[in-house]
Amino acid sequence: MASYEFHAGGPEPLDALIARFAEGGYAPSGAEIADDDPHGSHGHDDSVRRFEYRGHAVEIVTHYEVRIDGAPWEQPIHVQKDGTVMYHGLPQYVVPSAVELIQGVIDHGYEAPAEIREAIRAARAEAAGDGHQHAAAEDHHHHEHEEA
Amino acid sequence: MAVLRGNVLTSAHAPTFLAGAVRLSGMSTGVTPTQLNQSVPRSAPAARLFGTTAEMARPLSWWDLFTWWHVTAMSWPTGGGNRAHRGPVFLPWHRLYLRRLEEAIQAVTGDDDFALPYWNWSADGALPAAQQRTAPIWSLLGPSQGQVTQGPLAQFRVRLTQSVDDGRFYVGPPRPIWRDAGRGRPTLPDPADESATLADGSFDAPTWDEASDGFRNKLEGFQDPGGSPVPRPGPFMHNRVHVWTGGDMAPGSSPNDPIFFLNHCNVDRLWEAWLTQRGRTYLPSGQGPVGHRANDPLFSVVWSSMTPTQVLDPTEPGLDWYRYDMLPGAA
Repeated sequence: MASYEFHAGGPEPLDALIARFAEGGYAPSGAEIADDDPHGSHGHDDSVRRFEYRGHAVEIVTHYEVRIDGAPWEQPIHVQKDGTVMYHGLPQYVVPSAVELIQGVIDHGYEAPAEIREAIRAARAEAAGDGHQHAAAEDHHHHEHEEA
Repeated sequence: MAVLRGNVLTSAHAPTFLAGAVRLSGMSTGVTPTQLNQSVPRSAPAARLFGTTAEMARPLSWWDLFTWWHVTAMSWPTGGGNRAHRGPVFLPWHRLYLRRLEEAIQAVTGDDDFALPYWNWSADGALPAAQQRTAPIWSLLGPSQGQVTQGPLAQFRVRLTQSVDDGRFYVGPPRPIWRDAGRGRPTLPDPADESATLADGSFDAPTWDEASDGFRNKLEGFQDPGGSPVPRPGPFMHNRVHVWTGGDMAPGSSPNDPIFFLNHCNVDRLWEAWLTQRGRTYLPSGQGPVGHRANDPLFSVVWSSMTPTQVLDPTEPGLDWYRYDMLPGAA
């Protein structure tokens, strides 16, 4: 395999890099500054917008209850101060309404190519231990799977 | 010696980029998803891979490992935004990330002069909406809509997907990438957006996130750069390129599509233009969110970490990484 230059140590082949990565237990470099901020966590996360206006303390709490094809969709939707909404599964979507956000979820989840939906369905089915055939859109509410 | 990055439509390195991408997508790291999960803490559940027993035991390719790096950086707990986005670290983190891919392609192709090409998407954004989906770049990279099973990326395969349904990170059998250009937003950013972004002389400011005011947030795309006389729905600039392209470019596993790197190479080019015009400064230098400060380590896998300060000048002798063939000017 060809060698190459990299900042920290000069020429090194890719297989040497991956060997060192394995020796380190696949631990990221520079991760040690992490703290316990809950950003990116799963589950319902009511958006709360707090601000002061003319001496008055305001708190706006926004709850969303979403169903797609009759099944609950239970991911957190975050509301920004200007009213636009975001969801961590579509990290670049900052859109004016939850309607448009859920349209993005359908475009990229429910209407994704069959190979993607099948891989997700198979993982969920094996984790659930039932092995039955379900469409991805039908068993998306199985949230508490263990790793297969 | 620093390599020269050029426009993908004219760069002699474009075929090497595509061949290198195919090569890395078929080259095993020997590392399995189960092994990678060993390093993921409970506090970063979105970085944990899920799959069938067979897929969890099958080693990932080098391309998949880059995608894992991106999703993991987005999912790791931090004091603000995430370790790669929604804050000032967005620009230096992606600079380091792109350089490592550039080095990996140099390694697997044996071409030490290889330089990543960039996609000057604002030029395509000047076209009528319907023509943006058939711009010349799509003749190079495969179709802008549907699965990419033709052209130089016909043999390109990926295995990781961040599900937009439940937010989880899945591994499956090798599959083609897919695109859905124009569905999420009808148009790309245009030259007025680019000029307005570059005209902001402030790099970033408190609150150092998706609500802050400055060049970084306009370029990342949470803030309207103000190129239009009337308010418009977001997202803008970099974010809009992801949303406009759609398909694999939409979730956190967006490095699946090689065009991710062409988008970010253009983002890096715009940052380099700003640094050249305004001086090589970075904020916050002291107080600021953990993971986004000038001397915080950039989240890295396989390769050693660096800091934002250390990557501010890709041409300085200690790095000697790359230059751009052309930098845009401010409005």
